[in-house]
Amino acid sequence: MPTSQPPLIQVKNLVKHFPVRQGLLSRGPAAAVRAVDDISFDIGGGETVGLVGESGCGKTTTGRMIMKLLPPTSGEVLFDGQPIGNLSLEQEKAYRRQVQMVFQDPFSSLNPRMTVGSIIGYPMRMQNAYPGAARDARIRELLELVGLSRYQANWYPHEFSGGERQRVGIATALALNPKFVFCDEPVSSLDVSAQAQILNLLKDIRSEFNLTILMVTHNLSVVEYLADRVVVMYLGKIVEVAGTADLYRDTLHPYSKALVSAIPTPDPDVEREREQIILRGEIPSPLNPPSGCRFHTRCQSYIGDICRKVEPELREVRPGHFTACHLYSDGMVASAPVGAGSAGQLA
Amino acid sequence: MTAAVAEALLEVDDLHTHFQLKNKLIRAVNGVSFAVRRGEILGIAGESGAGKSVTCMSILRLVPNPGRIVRGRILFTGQDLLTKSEKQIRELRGQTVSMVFEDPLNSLDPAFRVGDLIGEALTLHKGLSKREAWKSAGELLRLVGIPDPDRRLDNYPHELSGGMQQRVMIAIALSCDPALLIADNPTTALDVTIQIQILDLVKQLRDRLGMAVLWITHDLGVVAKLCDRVVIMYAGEVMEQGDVYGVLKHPRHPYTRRLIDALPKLGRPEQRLMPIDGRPPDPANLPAGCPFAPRCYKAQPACEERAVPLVETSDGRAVRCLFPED
Repeated sequence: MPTSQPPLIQVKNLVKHFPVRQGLLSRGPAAAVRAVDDISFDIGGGETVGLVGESGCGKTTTGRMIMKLLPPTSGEVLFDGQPIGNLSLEQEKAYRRQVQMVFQDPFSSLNPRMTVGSIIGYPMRMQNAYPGAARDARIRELLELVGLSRYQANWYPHEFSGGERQRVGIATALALNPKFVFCDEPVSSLDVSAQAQILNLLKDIRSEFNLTILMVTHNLSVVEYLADRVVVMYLGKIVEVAGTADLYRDTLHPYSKALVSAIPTPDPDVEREREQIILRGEIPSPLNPPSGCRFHTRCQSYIGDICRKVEPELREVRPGHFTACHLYSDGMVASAPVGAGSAGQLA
Repeated sequence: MTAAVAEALLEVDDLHTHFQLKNKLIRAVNGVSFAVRRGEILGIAGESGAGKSVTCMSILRLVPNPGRIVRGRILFTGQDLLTKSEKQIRELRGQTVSMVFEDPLNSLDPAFRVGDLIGEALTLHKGLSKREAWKSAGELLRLVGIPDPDRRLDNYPHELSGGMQQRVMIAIALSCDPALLIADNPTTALDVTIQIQILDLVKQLRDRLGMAVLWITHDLGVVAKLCDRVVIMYAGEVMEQGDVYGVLKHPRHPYTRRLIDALPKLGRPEQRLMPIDGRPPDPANLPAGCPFAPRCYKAQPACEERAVPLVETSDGRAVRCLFPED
């Protein structure tokens, strides 16, 4: 997939299967949760990519593999053109310095027995960065950067509100001047006002430090606010990749359409006018995903046997806009409206 | 609001629920009044700590210790629930007024099958036999849109997905044809495509069964999708209430306005979010005047001097503000 800048991160045919322990008496091949099933995408330097989808679609697993917190079953992740799978100890240490993470829950991700100063200083200690007085100066600088006071370095996490704790999490992630930050649902546990503060903060630090960000979230309005490009996942597969504006204005995949239409928005006029797609059924189990297109069991635009039998490939339908759906394969009308296709067209 | 009182099913009037801790008094609900009309979906919205959940628990007298309802009336079809005996209240709960909680897995007893869980209310309140209850339980599961309901009756809660569990909770809540369903943030743990299914289901059930719904949420988007009217709460008080379109489109209270401005809006990513500065007040140490005044862009000295009354207007809306937006 071409991006405007050379990609900082390349995800190539990444697969992650989690084997499931079987009962004592069961026979046959061990089952596996196919959390991530052969996905590829790039993240350009300085780009913010939103990875969206519902629980169990593999978005967090993907992020964790990029962070090298989970080994992939197959496929690889390249950072600056270098596969991260076989790094020397020295290279690995350098990699850990360049990629950082902001966690979902600012309550459980901060050690309650450490002051926030020592929490923010911890990565520096681990990497022997900013020795001596420089470290304290750096901690104070980071606190102010994220909108806290330098005097709060001696406070404990419980003395902060949820939004302030998330600021501490962001300061910790920035401590070593990383190139890449993986934000896993950074605002989903926060109240509306704190959420707005954190989103604005992320927007500001991103441009200030030219950060590359992968943001995993189920909240599509958050993605629209921050991301340059969006990757939509469903049951371990990528169903659509597009520039943010394209994804929202010209949604192609029926699943993405349903997701966009389900976002609650506080504007009653928008609520009244827009198309409301209510999917049938539940997300199938990733233990045994549906054949063909994994979305066919819930799809509102099901066009027949091909959906059930043939797995659609991710293809570039418009420049920079990819989708994996038979509605847009060769010979089909590229702009087929929802529900317009029929089995007869294909036969 | 005389017209509204006439058709009110539930009327909460000047409710105060406080928690007396060792060294401080937490005023979680501080003079809340609103009415739920027959057949309407009323939303209560606000951030965490606004007192939404405690208000709901107060209605069914389920406030956990050391919480106490210290003042107010809760009129259900004209009768004050706060003066009823524990036995009378228990008959009301689950039968005429039922409740759905935020976390379905923790609210469903893991040791019982779905059929038993739904059947329990039916045998208890409706006096059905176990077999009849099991059969009606199957019909209820079908009503809430669970495929293959008769097989699902044999499942234990952990065998169901989050969306299914929440549907089971709703099925239990509906089992005795309640006149009022109270739902406390029931879709926060669910994915958006499942959430919209549940919201659609609640609307359909309201239309078909004519029950009233009190829906607590922190998501104004859900309010826009689901509710007829909305009550905006902050620091234990009602800041504003009225029809959803009016409140969300033309908010009169500065707090409502800031709450909406703080949300990312679909289709307008270039618009910078406006966070609300400062923190909500300490519930143990509430200001004498408007609780939002310290964070308000319109605040004048008068706002902090004394309590601001909730003023009703002719269009059925009410706002607690000395300098409301037009």
